[in-house]
Amino acid sequence: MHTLIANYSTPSEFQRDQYLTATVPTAFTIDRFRSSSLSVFADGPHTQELRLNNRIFKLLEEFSELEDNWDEDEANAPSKIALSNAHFVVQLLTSIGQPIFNTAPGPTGEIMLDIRDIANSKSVELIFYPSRSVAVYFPENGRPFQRDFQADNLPEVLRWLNQ
Amino acid sequence: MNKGDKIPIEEFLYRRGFSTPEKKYCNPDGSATSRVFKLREKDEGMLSVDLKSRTTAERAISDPGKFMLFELKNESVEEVALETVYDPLDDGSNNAHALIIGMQMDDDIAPGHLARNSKRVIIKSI
Repeated sequence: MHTLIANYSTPSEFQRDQYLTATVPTAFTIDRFRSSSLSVFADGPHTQELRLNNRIFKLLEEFSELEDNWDEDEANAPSKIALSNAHFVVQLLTSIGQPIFNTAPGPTGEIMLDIRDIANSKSVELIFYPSRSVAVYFPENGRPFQRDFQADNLPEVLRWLNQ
Repeated sequence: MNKGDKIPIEEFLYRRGFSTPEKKYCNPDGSATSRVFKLREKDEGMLSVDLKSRTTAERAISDPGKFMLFELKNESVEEVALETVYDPLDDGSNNAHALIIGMQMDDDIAPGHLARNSKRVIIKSI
Protein backbone atom coordinates (compact mmCIF):
# COMPACT_ATOMS: atom_id res chain seq x y z
CA MET A 1 0.00 0.00 0.00
CA HIS A 2 1.41 3.38 -1.02
CA THR A 3 0.21 6.48 0.67
CA LEU A 4 0.15 9.95 -0.83
CA ILE A 5 -0.48 12.78 1.55
CA ALA A 6 -1.68 16.02 -0.01
CA ASN A 7 -1.26 19.02 2.24
CA TYR A 8 -3.12 21.99 0.81
CA SER A 9 -2.62 25.43 2.30
CA THR A 10 -4.79 27.33 -0.16
CA PRO A 11 -7.92 26.54 -2.16
CA SER A 12 -6.05 27.27 -5.39
CA GLU A 13 -3.54 24.54 -4.65
CA PHE A 14 -6.39 22.18 -4.19
CA GLN A 15 -8.01 23.29 -7.44
CA ARG A 16 -4.69 22.86 -9.23
CA ASP A 17 -4.64 19.16 -8.47
CA GLN A 18 -8.30 18.74 -9.28
CA TYR A 19 -8.87 15.77 -7.07
CA LEU A 20 -12.42 16.95 -6.66
CA THR A 21 -14.02 19.76 -8.58
CA ALA A 22 -17.58 20.83 -8.98
CA THR A 23 -17.36 20.58 -12.74
CA VAL A 24 -16.14 17.01 -13.09
CA PRO A 25 -18.46 14.08 -12.46
CA THR A 26 -17.62 12.88 -8.98
CA ALA A 27 -17.88 9.22 -9.85
CA PHE A 28 -14.91 9.42 -12.15
CA THR A 29 -12.62 11.57 -10.05
CA ILE A 30 -13.13 9.66 -6.86
CA ASP A 31 -12.66 6.33 -8.48
CA ARG A 32 -9.29 7.29 -9.85
CA PHE A 33 -8.09 7.07 -6.28
CA ARG A 34 -9.94 3.95 -5.23
CA SER A 35 -7.15 1.44 -5.50
CA SER A 36 -5.89 -1.49 -3.45
CA SER A 37 -2.33 -0.30 -3.89
CA LEU A 38 -2.67 3.44 -3.46
CA SER A 39 -4.46 5.48 -0.92
CA VAL A 40 -4.75 9.25 -0.99
CA PHE A 41 -5.08 11.18 2.22
CA ALA A 42 -5.45 14.90 2.51
CA ASP A 43 -4.40 17.11 5.33
CA GLY A 44 -4.36 20.84 5.94
CA PRO A 45 -6.89 23.65 6.26
CA HIS A 46 -8.82 22.63 3.15
CA THR A 47 -9.17 18.96 3.92
CA GLN A 48 -12.91 19.45 4.19
CA GLU A 49 -13.07 20.22 0.48
CA LEU A 50 -11.81 16.73 -0.28
CA ARG A 51 -14.59 14.97 1.58
CA LEU A 52 -16.46 12.58 -0.66
CA ASN A 53 -19.75 14.10 -1.85
CA ASN A 54 -18.80 17.45 -0.34
CA ARG A 55 -20.42 19.23 -3.30
CA ILE A 56 -23.65 17.34 -2.65
CA PHE A 57 -23.67 18.29 1.03
CA LYS A 58 -23.12 21.93 0.06
CA LEU A 59 -25.92 21.85 -2.48
CA LEU A 60 -28.34 20.40 0.07
CA GLU A 61 -27.48 23.29 2.36
CA GLU A 62 -28.21 25.74 -0.47
CA PHE A 63 -31.51 24.02 -1.27
CA SER A 64 -32.63 24.42 2.35
CA GLU A 65 -32.61 28.19 1.82
CA LEU A 66 -34.82 28.16 -1.28
CA GLU A 67 -38.27 29.68 -0.95
CA ASP A 68 -41.51 29.11 -2.83
CA ASN A 69 -41.25 30.18 -6.48
CA TRP A 70 -37.48 29.71 -6.43
CA ASP A 71 -37.56 28.89 -10.15
CA GLU A 72 -39.90 31.81 -10.97
CA ASP A 73 -42.41 29.23 -12.20
CA GLU A 74 -44.29 28.52 -8.96
CA ALA A 75 -42.06 25.69 -7.72
CA ASN A 76 -42.55 24.76 -4.08
CA ALA A 77 -39.67 25.30 -1.67
CA PRO A 78 -37.87 22.03 -0.89
CA SER A 79 -39.67 20.16 1.85
CA LYS A 80 -37.85 19.90 5.18
CA ILE A 81 -38.72 16.21 5.35
CA ALA A 82 -37.40 15.63 1.83
CA LEU A 83 -34.19 17.49 2.66
CA SER A 84 -33.73 15.56 5.88
CA ASN A 85 -34.30 12.20 4.19
CA ALA A 86 -31.97 13.10 1.32
CA HIS A 87 -29.28 14.25 3.74
CA PHE A 88 -29.54 11.00 5.70
CA VAL A 89 -29.10 8.90 2.56
CA VAL A 90 -26.19 11.07 1.37
CA GLN A 91 -24.51 10.42 4.71
CA LEU A 92 -25.09 6.68 4.30
CA LEU A 93 -23.72 6.66 0.76
CA THR A 94 -20.72 8.73 1.79
CA SER A 95 -19.96 6.41 4.71
CA ILE A 96 -19.66 3.46 2.33
CA GLY A 97 -17.66 5.39 -0.29
CA GLN A 98 -20.38 5.73 -2.92
CA PRO A 99 -20.00 8.92 -4.99
CA ILE A 100 -23.16 10.82 -5.90
CA PHE A 101 -23.28 12.31 -9.38
CA ASN A 102 -25.68 15.14 -8.64
CA THR A 103 -28.61 16.42 -6.63
CA ALA A 104 -31.37 18.82 -7.63
CA PRO A 105 -34.52 20.31 -6.17
CA GLY A 106 -37.79 19.67 -7.96
CA PRO A 107 -40.92 21.74 -8.51
CA THR A 108 -43.08 19.87 -6.00
CA GLY A 109 -40.70 20.25 -3.05
CA GLU A 110 -38.79 17.08 -3.76
CA ILE A 111 -35.03 16.43 -3.70
CA MET A 112 -33.43 14.17 -6.29
CA LEU A 113 -30.14 12.28 -5.88
CA ASP A 114 -28.58 10.90 -9.07
CA ILE A 115 -26.18 7.99 -8.55
CA ARG A 116 -24.29 6.56 -11.52
CA ASP A 117 -22.07 3.54 -12.03
CA ILE A 118 -18.38 3.90 -12.82
CA ALA A 119 -18.91 3.45 -16.56
CA ASN A 120 -21.74 6.01 -16.53
CA SER A 121 -23.93 3.46 -18.29
CA LYS A 122 -26.43 2.82 -15.51
CA SER A 123 -27.94 5.17 -13.00
CA VAL A 124 -30.45 5.33 -10.19
CA GLU A 125 -32.38 8.38 -9.09
CA LEU A 126 -33.50 8.50 -5.48
CA ILE A 127 -36.29 11.03 -5.21
CA PHE A 128 -37.50 12.26 -1.84
CA TYR A 129 -40.96 13.79 -1.80
CA PRO A 130 -42.58 15.24 1.31
CA SER A 131 -44.72 12.12 1.75
CA ARG A 132 -42.91 9.32 -0.11
CA SER A 133 -39.64 8.34 -1.74
CA VAL A 134 -38.98 6.49 -4.98
CA ALA A 135 -36.02 4.86 -6.70
CA VAL A 136 -35.94 5.05 -10.49
CA TYR A 137 -33.61 2.62 -12.23
CA PHE A 138 -32.11 3.48 -15.62
CA PRO A 139 -30.41 0.39 -17.07
CA GLU A 140 -27.85 0.52 -19.88
CA ASN A 141 -30.31 -1.26 -22.14
CA GLY A 142 -33.99 -1.85 -21.66
CA ARG A 143 -36.76 0.10 -20.04
CA PRO A 144 -36.32 2.15 -16.89
CA PHE A 145 -38.45 1.18 -13.91
CA GLN A 146 -39.57 2.77 -10.66
CA ARG A 147 -39.97 1.38 -7.13
CA ASP A 148 -40.91 2.79 -3.75
CA PHE A 149 -37.77 3.53 -1.76
CA GLN A 150 -36.79 3.35 1.90
CA ALA A 151 -33.28 3.63 3.29
CA ASP A 152 -33.47 -0.11 4.06
CA ASN A 153 -33.52 -0.71 0.29
CA LEU A 154 -30.19 1.03 -0.25
CA PRO A 155 -28.10 -2.20 -0.37
CA GLU A 156 -30.22 -3.65 -3.18
CA VAL A 157 -30.16 -0.33 -5.06
CA LEU A 158 -26.35 -0.27 -4.94
CA ARG A 159 -26.13 -3.96 -5.80
CA TRP A 160 -28.18 -3.31 -8.96
CA LEU A 161 -26.11 -0.24 -9.82
CA ASN A 162 -22.67 -1.70 -9.27
CA GLN A 163 -23.17 -5.31 -10.33
CA MET B 1 -50.50 22.15 -38.78
CA ASN B 2 -53.55 22.69 -36.58
CA LYS B 3 -53.95 22.95 -32.83
CA GLY B 4 -54.12 19.44 -31.33
CA ASP B 5 -52.30 17.75 -34.19
CA LYS B 6 -49.84 15.07 -33.16
CA ILE B 7 -46.18 16.01 -33.64
CA PRO B 8 -44.12 13.58 -35.77
CA ILE B 9 -41.31 11.66 -34.10
CA GLU B 10 -38.64 13.35 -36.24
CA GLU B 11 -39.39 16.76 -34.76
CA PHE B 12 -37.07 18.28 -32.18
CA LEU B 13 -38.42 19.96 -29.06
CA TYR B 14 -37.04 22.70 -26.84
CA ARG B 15 -37.54 22.70 -23.08
CA ARG B 16 -35.97 25.23 -20.77
CA GLY B 17 -34.88 24.77 -17.18
CA PHE B 18 -34.22 27.36 -14.49
CA SER B 19 -30.50 27.93 -13.93
CA THR B 20 -28.64 31.13 -13.21
CA PRO B 21 -24.89 31.78 -13.13
CA GLU B 22 -25.13 31.75 -9.33
CA LYS B 23 -27.58 28.86 -8.95
CA LYS B 24 -26.83 26.08 -11.38
CA TYR B 25 -29.52 23.43 -11.37
CA CYS B 26 -28.12 21.37 -14.22
CA ASN B 27 -25.77 18.38 -13.97
CA PRO B 28 -22.02 18.98 -13.55
CA ASP B 29 -21.53 18.11 -17.23
CA GLY B 30 -24.15 20.70 -18.28
CA SER B 31 -26.87 18.17 -19.09
CA ALA B 32 -30.44 18.44 -17.81
CA THR B 33 -31.55 16.85 -14.57
CA SER B 34 -34.80 14.93 -14.53
CA ARG B 35 -36.39 17.79 -12.58
CA VAL B 36 -36.39 19.92 -15.74
CA PHE B 37 -38.98 17.53 -17.18
CA LYS B 38 -40.98 16.98 -13.99
CA LEU B 39 -44.66 17.86 -14.02
CA ARG B 40 -46.07 20.32 -11.51
CA GLU B 41 -49.69 20.60 -10.38
CA LYS B 42 -50.37 23.71 -12.47
CA ASP B 43 -49.30 21.85 -15.64
CA GLU B 44 -52.50 19.76 -15.43
CA GLY B 45 -50.68 16.77 -16.92
CA MET B 46 -49.22 18.65 -19.88
CA LEU B 47 -45.58 19.67 -20.16
CA SER B 48 -44.83 22.78 -22.20
CA VAL B 49 -42.25 22.62 -24.99
CA ASP B 50 -41.51 24.53 -28.18
CA LEU B 51 -41.11 23.03 -31.63
CA LYS B 52 -37.59 23.65 -32.87
CA SER B 53 -38.78 23.97 -36.47
CA ARG B 54 -41.07 26.88 -35.59
CA THR B 55 -38.83 28.99 -33.37
CA THR B 56 -35.23 29.86 -32.60
CA ALA B 57 -33.16 28.91 -29.58
CA GLU B 58 -32.99 32.57 -28.62
CA ARG B 59 -36.77 32.94 -28.61
CA ALA B 60 -37.30 29.62 -26.83
CA ILE B 61 -34.95 30.43 -23.97
CA SER B 62 -36.28 34.01 -23.62
CA ASP B 63 -33.84 34.92 -20.82
CA PRO B 64 -30.45 33.14 -20.93
CA GLY B 65 -29.56 34.79 -17.61
CA LYS B 66 -32.22 32.70 -15.89
CA PHE B 67 -32.63 29.59 -18.00
CA MET B 68 -30.81 26.84 -19.82
CA LEU B 69 -32.25 25.39 -23.00
CA PHE B 70 -32.37 21.69 -23.81
CA GLU B 71 -33.18 19.96 -27.09
CA LEU B 72 -34.98 16.64 -27.33
CA LYS B 73 -36.10 14.49 -30.23
CA ASN B 74 -39.82 13.74 -30.09
CA GLU B 75 -39.00 10.08 -30.65
CA SER B 76 -37.78 10.00 -27.03
CA VAL B 77 -41.18 11.23 -25.88
CA GLU B 78 -42.94 8.35 -27.62
CA GLU B 79 -40.44 5.84 -26.20
CA VAL B 80 -42.08 6.32 -22.80
CA ALA B 81 -45.63 6.11 -24.14
CA LEU B 82 -46.23 9.86 -24.23
CA GLU B 83 -47.04 12.06 -27.18
CA THR B 84 -46.62 15.66 -28.21
CA VAL B 85 -49.42 17.78 -29.67
CA TYR B 86 -49.29 21.19 -31.30
CA ASP B 87 -50.64 23.96 -29.05
CA PRO B 88 -49.99 27.46 -30.42
CA LEU B 89 -50.96 30.09 -27.88
CA ASP B 90 -54.29 31.75 -28.63
CA ASP B 91 -52.88 35.25 -28.23
CA GLY B 92 -50.42 34.61 -31.03
CA SER B 93 -47.40 35.11 -28.78
CA ASN B 94 -45.95 31.66 -29.37
CA ASN B 95 -46.79 29.70 -32.50
CA ALA B 96 -44.12 27.09 -31.65
CA HIS B 97 -45.78 25.98 -28.43
CA ALA B 98 -46.59 22.29 -27.97
CA LEU B 99 -47.55 20.01 -25.10
CA ILE B 100 -46.20 16.64 -24.04
CA ILE B 101 -49.29 14.79 -22.82
CA GLY B 102 -49.92 11.56 -20.94
CA MET B 103 -47.49 12.06 -18.07
CA GLN B 104 -48.69 11.42 -14.53
CA MET B 105 -47.69 13.36 -11.41
CA ASP B 106 -46.28 10.22 -9.76
CA ASP B 107 -44.30 9.22 -12.84
CA ASP B 108 -40.56 9.68 -12.35
CA ILE B 109 -39.51 7.41 -15.22
CA ALA B 110 -40.48 9.80 -18.00
CA PRO B 111 -38.70 12.88 -16.56
CA GLY B 112 -35.47 10.90 -16.16
CA HIS B 113 -35.75 9.35 -19.61
CA LEU B 114 -36.40 12.69 -21.29
CA ALA B 115 -33.52 14.34 -19.42
CA ARG B 116 -31.11 11.56 -20.40
CA ASN B 117 -32.09 11.89 -24.04
CA SER B 118 -31.84 15.66 -24.17
CA LYS B 119 -28.84 17.83 -24.83
CA ARG B 120 -28.07 21.36 -23.88
CA VAL B 121 -28.33 24.09 -26.52
CA ILE B 122 -25.64 26.70 -26.16
CA ILE B 123 -26.92 30.19 -26.91
CA LYS B 124 -24.10 32.08 -28.62
CA SER B 125 -25.50 35.58 -28.55
CA ILE B 126 -28.73 37.45 -27.97
